[in-house]
Amino acid sequence: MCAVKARNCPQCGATVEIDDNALADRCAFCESPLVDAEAVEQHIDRVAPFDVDRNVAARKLKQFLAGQWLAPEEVRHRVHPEKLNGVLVPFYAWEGTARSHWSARVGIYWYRTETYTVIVNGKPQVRTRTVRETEWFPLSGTHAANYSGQLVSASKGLPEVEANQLEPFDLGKARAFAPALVAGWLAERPTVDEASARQVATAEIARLENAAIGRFLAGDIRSDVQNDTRLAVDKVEEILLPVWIATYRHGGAVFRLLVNGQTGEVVGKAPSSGLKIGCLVAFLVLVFVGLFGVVALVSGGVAVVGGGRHG
Amino acid sequence: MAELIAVRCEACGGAVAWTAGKPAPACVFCGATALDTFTPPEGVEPPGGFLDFVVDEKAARQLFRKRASDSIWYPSDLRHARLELKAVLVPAWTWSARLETHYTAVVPGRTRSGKRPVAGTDEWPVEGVLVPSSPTLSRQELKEISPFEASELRPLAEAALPHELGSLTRTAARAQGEDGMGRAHQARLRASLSASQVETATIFHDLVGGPLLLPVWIGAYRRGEALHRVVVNGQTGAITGSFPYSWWKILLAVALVLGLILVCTGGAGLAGILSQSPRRF
Repeated sequence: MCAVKARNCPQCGATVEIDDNALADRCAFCESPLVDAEAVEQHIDRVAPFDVDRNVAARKLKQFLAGQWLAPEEVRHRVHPEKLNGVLVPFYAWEGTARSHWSARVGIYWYRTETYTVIVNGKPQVRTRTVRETEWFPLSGTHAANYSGQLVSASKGLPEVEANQLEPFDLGKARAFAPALVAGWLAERPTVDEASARQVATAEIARLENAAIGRFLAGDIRSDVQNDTRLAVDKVEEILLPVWIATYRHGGAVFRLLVNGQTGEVVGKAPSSGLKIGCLVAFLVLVFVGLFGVVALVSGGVAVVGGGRHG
Repeated sequence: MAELIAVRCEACGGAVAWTAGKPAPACVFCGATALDTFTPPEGVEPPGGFLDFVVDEKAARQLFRKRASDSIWYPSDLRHARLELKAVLVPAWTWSARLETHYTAVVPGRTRSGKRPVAGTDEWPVEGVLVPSSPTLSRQELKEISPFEASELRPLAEAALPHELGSLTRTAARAQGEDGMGRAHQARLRASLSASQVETATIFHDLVGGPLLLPVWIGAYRRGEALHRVVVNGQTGAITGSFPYSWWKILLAVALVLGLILVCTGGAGLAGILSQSPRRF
């Protein structure tokens, strides 16, 4: 159950309860924007405004669902702009520098021509062919890279996997917090603690560095790659990033689709229709049975013809 | 810093900015004068200055005519094509840094494969790597007409022309600038090592970047149904663009070569027949 706090609406005077984790919301009585400016200033360094408006986000969702042909028809037609929630989701932005010493065996291909003998029409013939060989070299060296703008979701409501799929965001569009930037939107305060987020960022930067070293080694093939990496990871800022969220109920389950509020990229998985899957399976079974029948008929026909000749 | 006013053309949708206090401009893209004021996009910094035109319109036309005569495969009348030229101050970012580049490479060696791998580190100070900040100029076009002399930057208030609004934030421009600088260092290493393959990883020290406006002549001309575009560096006169080939000339050349081959083989065949003729008699 979410904790709530009471706030007075400056527009209509009503006392409304909003989620304790919400930095901004709307008054339930008059729809006026409510902003907890003090909390935002305490938690958030910058805010990136929405570039993709509600109608464009709905259009992107419709295009996405049009390609999900196993999704239930009712879901595909349930995308309405008014059902989308514009949420400013908190992220931690990290910057890291990785310096690695590595060693590996690097293989470079070379080619030689060899002769071999084949028997053609009972006579031996000498032929040539090209054979690929690998020449291996030990190699060691250093690798260094900056990893800036590494985003880690600071919202428990947006798991890191989905957050990664939503990226990239252009952090250059973010501005220092002003109440007007969050007014009218839902905005959440960070609910993931910084230490946990740092662990996620460090693991992500280490993964990126390992992958970068793998690509970095010249040659045709590599083996025995070992590296010793030193990481310096610093938190740069806490930032609110724009995300459109569409939540649907289908078959008792809740699913949601996300739209990047800067690029319009859609993330999520639509549910599958049991009816459509059943029809697809039935169709495939029919096709299989049909093909099997045709093959059986053809092979049976050949046998009958053969039998006729012998008879 | 001079206050900028941003307007959007009602006819073509192009976004233009000019310094407050100057007469309202026409659209730099289509010449329309019906323009709507709007707030420039968030996070896009105004240019720190502009580079002035050294190449005037007459010189730009001469450069086009010279380039149109450079190849015998261009149509003969290309140099007389009706070229529409526009002087545009194009938004871009310029980046400088000291690069610490770690590399691995495959270089020539006395081995079975004739190659060997090497690894190392190289430092290189690089200045003035440009990144276009609008769709008006592609990265390839900018590369082909570079360099520009950024030391001659003048205050924006002195600009006589309106200019197109930039579209890249500092963060986005930085990523492209780092990519451009990293590629430049990679190309330099490839040449110095005579390497067939180079892989690099770069750290950027003392990274400095800022938006500016570049003087560019953008031209368009028609050949039949096709519209061709040329771009001229307004400082140096370097030119790039699309120059069509004359298919008639190419077909004529192919026909000539085929004709020559036919004549030669025919001649050789005739000579063979003639040389065998006495034996038959």
